[in-house]
Amino acid sequence: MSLRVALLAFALAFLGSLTAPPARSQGAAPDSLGAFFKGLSDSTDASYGAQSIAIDTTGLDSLAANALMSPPRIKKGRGRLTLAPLLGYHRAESVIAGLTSRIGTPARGWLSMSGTYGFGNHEGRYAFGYRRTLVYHGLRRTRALADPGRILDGATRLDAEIEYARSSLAFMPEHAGHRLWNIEPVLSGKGSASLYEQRGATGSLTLWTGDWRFIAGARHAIEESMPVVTDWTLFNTSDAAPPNTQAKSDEYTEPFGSIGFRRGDWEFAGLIDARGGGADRWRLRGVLGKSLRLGTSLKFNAQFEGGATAANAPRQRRFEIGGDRAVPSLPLGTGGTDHLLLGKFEFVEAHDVLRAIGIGHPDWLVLQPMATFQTGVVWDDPAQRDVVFSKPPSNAWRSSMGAGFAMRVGAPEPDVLFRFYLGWPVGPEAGTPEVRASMSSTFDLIGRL
Amino acid sequence: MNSTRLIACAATLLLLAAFALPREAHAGTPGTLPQSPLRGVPGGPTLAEEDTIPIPSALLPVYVVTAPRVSLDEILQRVAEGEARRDSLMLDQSYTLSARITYLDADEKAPTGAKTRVEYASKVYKKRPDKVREIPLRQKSDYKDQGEGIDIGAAPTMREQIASFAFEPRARGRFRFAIQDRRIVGGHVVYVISFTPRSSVDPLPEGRVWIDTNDFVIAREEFWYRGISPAPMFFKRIDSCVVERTKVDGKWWVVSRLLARVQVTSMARFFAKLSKEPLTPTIDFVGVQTDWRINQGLDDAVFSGATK
Repeated sequence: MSLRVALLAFALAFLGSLTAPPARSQGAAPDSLGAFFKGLSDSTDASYGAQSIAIDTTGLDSLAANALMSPPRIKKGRGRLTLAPLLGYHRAESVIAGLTSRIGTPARGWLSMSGTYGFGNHEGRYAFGYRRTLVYHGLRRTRALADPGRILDGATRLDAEIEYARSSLAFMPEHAGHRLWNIEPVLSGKGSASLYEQRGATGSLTLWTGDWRFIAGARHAIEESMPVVTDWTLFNTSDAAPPNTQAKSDEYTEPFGSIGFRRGDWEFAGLIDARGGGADRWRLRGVLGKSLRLGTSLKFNAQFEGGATAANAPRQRRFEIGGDRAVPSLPLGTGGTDHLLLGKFEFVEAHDVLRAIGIGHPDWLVLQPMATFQTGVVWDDPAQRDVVFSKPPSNAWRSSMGAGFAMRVGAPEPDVLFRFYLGWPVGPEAGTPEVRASMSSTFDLIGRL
Repeated sequence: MNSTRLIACAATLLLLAAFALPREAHAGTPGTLPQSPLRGVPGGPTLAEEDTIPIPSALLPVYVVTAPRVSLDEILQRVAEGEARRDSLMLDQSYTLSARITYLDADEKAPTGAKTRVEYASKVYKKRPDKVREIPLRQKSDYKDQGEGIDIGAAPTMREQIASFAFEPRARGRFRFAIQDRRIVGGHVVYVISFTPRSSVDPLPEGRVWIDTNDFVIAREEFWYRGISPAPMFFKRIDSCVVERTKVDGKWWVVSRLLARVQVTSMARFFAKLSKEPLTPTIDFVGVQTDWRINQGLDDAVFSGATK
């Protein structure tokens, strides 16, 4: 009897299997799309391998079902103290060393502290800051709020920030580059802008919305000059270090503001910075940047910068034109006038040069050919007027060209390039040929927006 | 009796003839269903006898019919609109997120030395306009900090730009698109559209997407950085990123799985070794989103415990 039942069951099962295909074929229309994508998915599984795709889901259903009522306690790293070393060298400070730290949460804000000690001038530098995000619509993640904001598609953010600091600041900071972790001053004494001391408090509000960034704030500060305390360099000990430009002693309260714009799809960005502080201190600066595709493997980047300040503005507010970010054949510190015009043009080609010529190289060393041209002028208004627009003297233009290699670093910003090139002067009084190395973003005169 | 049988037989024959003959008569009526000249032609199509479609009585000239087909531009436009429509109709979501990071060596060879470094799971709730709550369910890691610093968090937006980034109106101009394939699957026309960066200087990926034209929504995407790395000092190549979407409740296309295989450079491995968190040549990432619930009317109280 049981045999019969088993045979019957087998027969039914067999019949079922026979009848199954027609049933599937009848239902093929709605299900076959799923089957089609399932087939692609299976192919993906095979290419990745079971070692990567198999996720342990044991017990996950019950954890998920009770997530709201009894959420598991899992330790997260939010609010931890972060510490990072600071190291640098400058002729006005000698070796400096210190620490920077930050602690906070997205809800409570971020407290930052940093301090360094200069072993040459025996002075300390410190900064205490607090930043809190008041409004945020966008990617609300711990990391997104821990870092300073930026223009992001679909994100709006309003930050309030206060800071009290005693700092060593660079003249013409927009062209100065990085002060810390900069090896060039150690090697040759060059590559670092003159410094002055600023002590004071700053409060600001920053709004990022759509393609725009707005900053408004106020500052009270005391500024002093800094003398040269060492002329030591690793490879150029016989030659004195460049002088440290003397700042004018000043105490002031100023409002400041900035409007920035960036459209990634247009590959266009713009910036206007303004500082107040009275008739003898105001300062205005604007930059435009635009990239163009030239064919499929060549890119052209252009930046235009203009600036004006009060005719009697202190030296530390005036404009300079030398250095990697301006006219590289001229040294940092060139200028010190109340007006500036600068144009920077750069061509970057896509091909990996070392691979193209068949030279073996580490996988990370991808060198792309590049060429640059810079031209600019700094001048004082002949009539000593406090004006924004003034005609530059035609004989004051200085230019340089360069050719070399660019390497995409991709960090901390995706468009950061390391550039290594030979720059030479074009025209009279445009400096001397220099081998230059610098790391900056495509629109380095605009910076992070 | 015999006569009765004869009458019955005759009646039966007449009845049969009454059912049978009229059909033959209709079928043979000239002008109603004409005899096809193709019928019986060797090699010609076999036509069903019961076919009621009038058959042409003579061969007709061949006409090439040209009709407007959806252009590539129109597909791209419709995909952007389809994705926007999909996003706008979602009011709330909940799903279970599971992720895994595996270190291995699979640089142009079969995978070896695979080791799971992180396993993470969470329950995610989202509601318009920007509410999100993510409840970690599980976290296993053999990093020094036990994975405390891991940030696989979910964003409050319901846009899935990981699938649609190349089709976003602002990004479209930076890619060149082409129709790679067109298939009819289960009553759906599925287009395979490839995209490549217009400029090889730009660190942008190339790839392809599968578009279900019933909804004009991206159903699957594969992209990669093989010719150019977004960060050459750290990533040698990104061999493959796969974004798989599933249809939930018969109408919502949502990301169900995300996979990525990254080849890291010797420099990145050097720095990782210095920080005593050595890297393998390859890193695989897999994220799976299951148990989708969409537009279930999530209460605001769900988000009261959210950490901002």
